[in-house]
Amino acid sequence: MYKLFLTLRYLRKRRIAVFAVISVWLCVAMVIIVGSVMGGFLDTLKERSRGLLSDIVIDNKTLQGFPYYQDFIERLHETMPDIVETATPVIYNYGILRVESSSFTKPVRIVGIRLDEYRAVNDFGNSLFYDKYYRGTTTLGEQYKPFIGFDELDTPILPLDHEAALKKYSLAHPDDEQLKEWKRLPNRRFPGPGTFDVNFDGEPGYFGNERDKAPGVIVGCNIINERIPETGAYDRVYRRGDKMILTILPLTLSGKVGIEGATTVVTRLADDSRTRVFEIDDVCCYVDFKRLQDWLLMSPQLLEDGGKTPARASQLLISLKPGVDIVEGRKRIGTEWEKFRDLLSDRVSRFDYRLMQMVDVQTWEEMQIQFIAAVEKERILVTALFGVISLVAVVLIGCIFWMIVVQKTRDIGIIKSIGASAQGVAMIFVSFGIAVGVLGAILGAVSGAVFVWYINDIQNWLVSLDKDLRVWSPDVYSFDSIPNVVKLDEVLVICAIAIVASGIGALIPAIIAGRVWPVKALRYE
Amino acid sequence: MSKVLLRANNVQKRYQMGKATLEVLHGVSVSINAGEFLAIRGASGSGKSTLMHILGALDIPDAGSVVYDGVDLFSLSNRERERIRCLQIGFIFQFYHLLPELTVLENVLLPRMVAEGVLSWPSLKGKAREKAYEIVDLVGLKNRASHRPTELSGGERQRAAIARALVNSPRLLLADEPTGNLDRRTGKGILDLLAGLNDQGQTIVMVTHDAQSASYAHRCVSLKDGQITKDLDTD
Ligand SMILES: Nc1ncnc2c1ncn2[C@@H]1O[C@H](COP(=O)(O)OP(=O)(O)O)[C@@H](O)[C@H]1O
Ligand SMILES: [Mg+2]
Repeated sequence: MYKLFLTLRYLRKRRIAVFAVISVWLCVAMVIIVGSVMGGFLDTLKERSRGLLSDIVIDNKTLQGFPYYQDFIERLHETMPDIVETATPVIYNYGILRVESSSFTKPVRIVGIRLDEYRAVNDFGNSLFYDKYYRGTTTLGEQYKPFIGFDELDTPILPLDHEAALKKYSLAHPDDEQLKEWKRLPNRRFPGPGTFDVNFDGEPGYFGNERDKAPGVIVGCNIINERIPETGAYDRVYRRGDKMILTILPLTLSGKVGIEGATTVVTRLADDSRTRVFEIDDVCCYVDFKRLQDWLLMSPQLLEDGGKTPARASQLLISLKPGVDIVEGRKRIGTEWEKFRDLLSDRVSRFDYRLMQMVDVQTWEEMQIQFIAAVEKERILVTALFGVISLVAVVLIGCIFWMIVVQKTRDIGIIKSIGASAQGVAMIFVSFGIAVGVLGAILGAVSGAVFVWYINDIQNWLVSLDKDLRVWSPDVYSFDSIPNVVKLDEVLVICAIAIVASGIGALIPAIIAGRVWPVKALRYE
Repeated sequence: MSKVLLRANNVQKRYQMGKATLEVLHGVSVSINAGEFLAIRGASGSGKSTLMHILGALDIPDAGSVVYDGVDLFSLSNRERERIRCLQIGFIFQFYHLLPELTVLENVLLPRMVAEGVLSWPSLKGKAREKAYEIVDLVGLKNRASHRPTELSGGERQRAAIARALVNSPRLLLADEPTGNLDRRTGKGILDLLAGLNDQGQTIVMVTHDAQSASYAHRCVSLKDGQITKDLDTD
């Protein structure tokens, strides 16, 4: 009984043990923070990679792309309806975006998508701003610009489809803070999400002359919007439907710039997309697949001999049926692709066949493997490094306990002279160490978790003091906020390790304490 | 004829100090009867404490044996010897040796806690505290039970140490110069207390260097040149 009693008493009376507790506390908090941020980073990375690709990606990594994609899609639906849910082609290219009203230009990555299918294979749909509040109003097809009008009471009103969609959204999301916030804001053209042009003559609706009827473009939100530093929200300076001029360079099949040189197309701002992956939001513009194919001359082109080149796409994104094993799916689709390609081998041009030979069928994870593996390694390395640093805490506990043992040699002698055993005395110090570990672990877990939960607020506060204090730069880390999820199981493991380590730190001094020879310890005052 | 409680046979002890060997005890033999109050007199440095530690199983002799109640203490395992030290022998030191972090009552309770496991303690706690209070009262520290040792005078500290030595109702009480650090009057109080305990049947062995203290005992022996030289009866 004395062991427990003296452990508790020493914990209260030995001030120096506070330093041991603090060191455990700091180490536990540190490891939790680093582990959570790095782990969160990794998880988000994976989730986003998957969300922006699809289960399976077929790609040949050239600007020319590969032909017969549509035949392959149909073949997939025919031969393996059990595993293929949706398959959609995508075109990637580069270009220059110019906002007509301001004439500023930016280099962009132009992505040609079939919007409905693309939304079906990944999370892209959730990244759209206008489509969130005005569901169904975002199209990549030709359309006029939407205008706000006024009713008899001079209240601003949106075009009917917008009004109806917004009403539906607010009914479904009565607690949307953002929406309430907009309602409160004065001095805006209208109290709702987005920025629109105004028809001062009356009616709301879609108007314009023939040139204003332009195909839509969805622009990465960092390209055209200003970010408000304090809140992190976006200020939409351009109006929905504003003209965006895209300049693109169509290439011939052999990779040369075509005779017409650069092509300029007029598009209409249909929406903006915020995937929260900085590299995407900062460069990607999405236009209709078919249009981009035409613009880039990737659609069938007449040949001198009267024949036609096949249409080409850069990528095929495939989503699998729920429950289908993704690696298994990749294998089957990969085999199918090889069969398909070999079947066509004697019917296609040599160059087309070459392009098809360069095609890889990969899972989203394989596609990102190098990057993900690097981050994974980094995470393990950093966590291990901090674990090693935490050994310092173990050593510190050892030192502090050694000091206590030296200071308390006489008391230990007294306890032993009363009949306590060496193991009993050692146990006092080991359990004292464990108690220090438990206390430090609890404090560390709580403060580490709280720090992680509020890590973005802490950074915002630092930035508000001085801009240079921004630790987590979105340019570097892809994500616009620091991951702030704490995993309970990880915390428990870290705490357990800390507690055991504290006990181990106390072990050597404890053994020394157990060996104290009472007669020597008690001989003198 | 009273029964022998403790007997030391030809106990030898030397200390190695570098190259020199210091022979402290050269074959000490002494026996203590149950119920007896024995004083061992000797000059400072004569080996009195060394002998007491060996009698109390705190130290191990180089040769010879100590038989307690028919059992050779140094043939026992550590665990068994610790058990006897805890339950059968109470030790009083010249310098009190109380734990400064604990109150008087907690100091007194400590040997009971050492004797009992964590599991049995909750059920025993009440009784143990009662007994500890009784003993604290017996040694005259009733109002000081919740004080810390640093708040007590020397005499009071020694009383607390005596209470601690008594709490497990040991059959043998060993007192190493219990008054050595106290003024004459305070010392007398302590000696009266020991004599009173002896009257109630407590076996006591006391080491002292002054004759007046020794006069409280029934019997007095002298330790000189590492041997018991005289075995005198006192009144
Ligand atoms: N651990 C030790 N190492 C060396 N010498 C010691 C040790 N303990 C005691 N001594 C010596 O043994 C002698 C007897 O000491 P002690 O038993 O304390 O005598 P007393 O209690 O009669 O004053 C002294 O000379 C002392 O210096
Ligand atoms: Mg002495």
